[in-house]
Amino acid sequence: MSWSLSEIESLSRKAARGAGMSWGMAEEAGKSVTWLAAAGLPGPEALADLLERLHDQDLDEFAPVIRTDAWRAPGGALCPIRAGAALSDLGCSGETRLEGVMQPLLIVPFAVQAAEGPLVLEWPGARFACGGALRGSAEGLCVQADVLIETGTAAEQPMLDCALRYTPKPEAITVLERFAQLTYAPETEASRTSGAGAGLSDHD
Amino acid sequence: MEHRDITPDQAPLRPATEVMRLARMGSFHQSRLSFMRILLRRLSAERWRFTTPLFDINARGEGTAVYTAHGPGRSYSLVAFAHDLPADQRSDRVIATAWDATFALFDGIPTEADITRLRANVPLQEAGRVTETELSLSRANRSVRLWEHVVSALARGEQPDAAMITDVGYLMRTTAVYGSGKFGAADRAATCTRPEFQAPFQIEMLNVFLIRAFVMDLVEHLARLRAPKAAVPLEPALRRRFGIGNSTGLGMAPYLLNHPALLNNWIAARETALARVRALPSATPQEAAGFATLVKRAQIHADEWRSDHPAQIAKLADLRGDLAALIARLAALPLTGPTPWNALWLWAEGALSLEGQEALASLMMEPHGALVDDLSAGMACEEAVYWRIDGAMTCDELRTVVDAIYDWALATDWTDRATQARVWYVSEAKLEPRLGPRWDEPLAPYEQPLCPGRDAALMRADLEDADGTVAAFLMAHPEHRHIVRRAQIAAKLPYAEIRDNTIAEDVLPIDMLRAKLSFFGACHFDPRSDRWVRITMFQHAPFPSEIAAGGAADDWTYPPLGSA
Repeated sequence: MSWSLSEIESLSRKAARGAGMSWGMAEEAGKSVTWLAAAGLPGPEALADLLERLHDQDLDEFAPVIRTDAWRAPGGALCPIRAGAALSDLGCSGETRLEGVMQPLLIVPFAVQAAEGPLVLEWPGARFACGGALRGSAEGLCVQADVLIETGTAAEQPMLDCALRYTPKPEAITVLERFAQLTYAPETEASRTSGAGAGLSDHD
Repeated sequence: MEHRDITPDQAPLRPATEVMRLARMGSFHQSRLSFMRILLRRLSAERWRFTTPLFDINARGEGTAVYTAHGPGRSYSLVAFAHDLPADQRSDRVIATAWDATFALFDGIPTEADITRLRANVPLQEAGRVTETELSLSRANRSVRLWEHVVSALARGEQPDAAMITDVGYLMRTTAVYGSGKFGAADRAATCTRPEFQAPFQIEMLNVFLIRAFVMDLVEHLARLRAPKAAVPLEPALRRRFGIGNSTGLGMAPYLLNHPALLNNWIAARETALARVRALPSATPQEAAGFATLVKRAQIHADEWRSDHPAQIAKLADLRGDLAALIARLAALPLTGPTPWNALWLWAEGALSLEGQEALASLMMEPHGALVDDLSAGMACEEAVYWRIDGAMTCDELRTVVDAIYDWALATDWTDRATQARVWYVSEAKLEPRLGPRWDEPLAPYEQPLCPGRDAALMRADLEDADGTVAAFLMAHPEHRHIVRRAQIAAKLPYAEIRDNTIAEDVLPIDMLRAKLSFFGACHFDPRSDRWVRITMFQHAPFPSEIAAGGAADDWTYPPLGSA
């Protein structure tokens, strides 16, 4: 079943929040997933796997610490949303090495935003170009890998097309919905009777 | 002079600190820049045609109808499913599961197979599923008060009671009009490059405009089926008095907070329009006389505005008093001096309530379509342009931004429980936004980011000792990412942020609802509590056949003189 991009963004944002991200970071997750889905890439599936690994964890353990030679997380596994947001904030013009990035596909949209010139992102089985023509492909999902960003193009890669629908895998949706559910407050009698439209006749 | 050839002069825009207060936003009125006005101007200018390729509805009011609007490039079809709803299932609440009528706006002309697919889904609303060929999904319930009165009067060969029509204003009211990707429908991105959908909410407005046509045809059809020989149609003048109602709850309020750049563009267009009119050097005697007539029509409109809500009753008293004062002012000091509109406006700022001031802002735009209508083109927003955080901004610069935009919040004592008495959250039961009591129920863990003032104050405290760039600050404080983005957007777009506490004990969500609904073009705002309202849309508007015939002027919102 095909989903609209706004459905995908909304669910992804809620799921990221439900799994423990701040609202601002969850919004970044939503944008990243939606960008990927619009390009026909498995953003929702990548986020579902990421959130399974992040929830109930101290997320600072997955945040980047920027060293001269590479970006690393204290715990060894780097969150692509935290790292991607930092990349977007800082801008990126040349060689950057990010170690142990979980679901590295999720970092691609941030690199597109950050690119101050033609860049290529690579990890085993994947290569993307941004900052000029958007090109790239990935061989399925990658649980964790080092990501290398360099100046350059990737003319051998296919152009990324923008579609307006995406058909996510049902298993991924199940995971995302489970996390999204955690953002909803359980119903109480008090909330029910004070809700919109309550308490007055609407039979007139 | 052809105004579009030059950049019009304008008075200074009103500052955001004045405009973006909830009490003022909760006093906004529809205007020429409201979305339903923009839609009907286009349909008229382009002479859209309308057909009814299917109308198959039985005497119990069950069946299917299709209304197609044909524009210069494309056609759009309202697919309507009419139901025979038992009275005990009729509810305006979003948690309802059955309605008198359900609708989809289809992108094009539906085939039999499309209609069959929609019949299996549209009547279920949120529990169904639509596709990228559907642009909007909606439903409506009858006004029980008026429906039977109108059907039985027409079936007897009589016209319904005009006073009763005025009291209610509509035969059906919609309870949700979903667009932009909801429940599988097409995203706005799929249609926003079409000229007819460039301005905001044109799809939803077209949907409601066609619903109104369907509802009026339906009521006449049912009268004919009841008494084929005796039944008469509605008299055209009386028919125009019927709008479409809408019942709107809290779900709409967060929209304004979730779309700061878009909100800015709406407000900026309206403020620019006001500033252009204020800068006009003179008014002719004919213009002055025309404006006096318009204010009298606005008086009729205000007199027909009904509400039982104490806050709205007080606001209506203000409005009626203000319109009387305005008429007296125009009689005593006609618009003859230099910059007469600015003089009138400056008088109003001292003499009228917020209701009257905002009504006047809309009225001053009314005779100046050539000067202001072009602003509608700037009301949409490519929000992605404003999304990326400027990480190179220094913490010093961010402090300056926050201190300027959120000065009111930084002066608020957030340890006072009343300042944080409410929590915006989403309920598990129906996934709808709600506003709950922070200190009485365990809601805080579920809080939505809809309290920029409080969040800005928290961020500003952590920012106090920070140096370096925003990028570095956010690496250390990811919890402030949401509000930093907002602050940076508001630094570029002055009307992006509401300058009031949206979680205060005394916050009135209906103020946010009214601001948004006024931009839709809604009238007769009738709060039913502090968090849900009824409104009327398209009352007095021309019908599709009148649009197609040409000459339907954009002058329908205020009732004609003599119609009271």
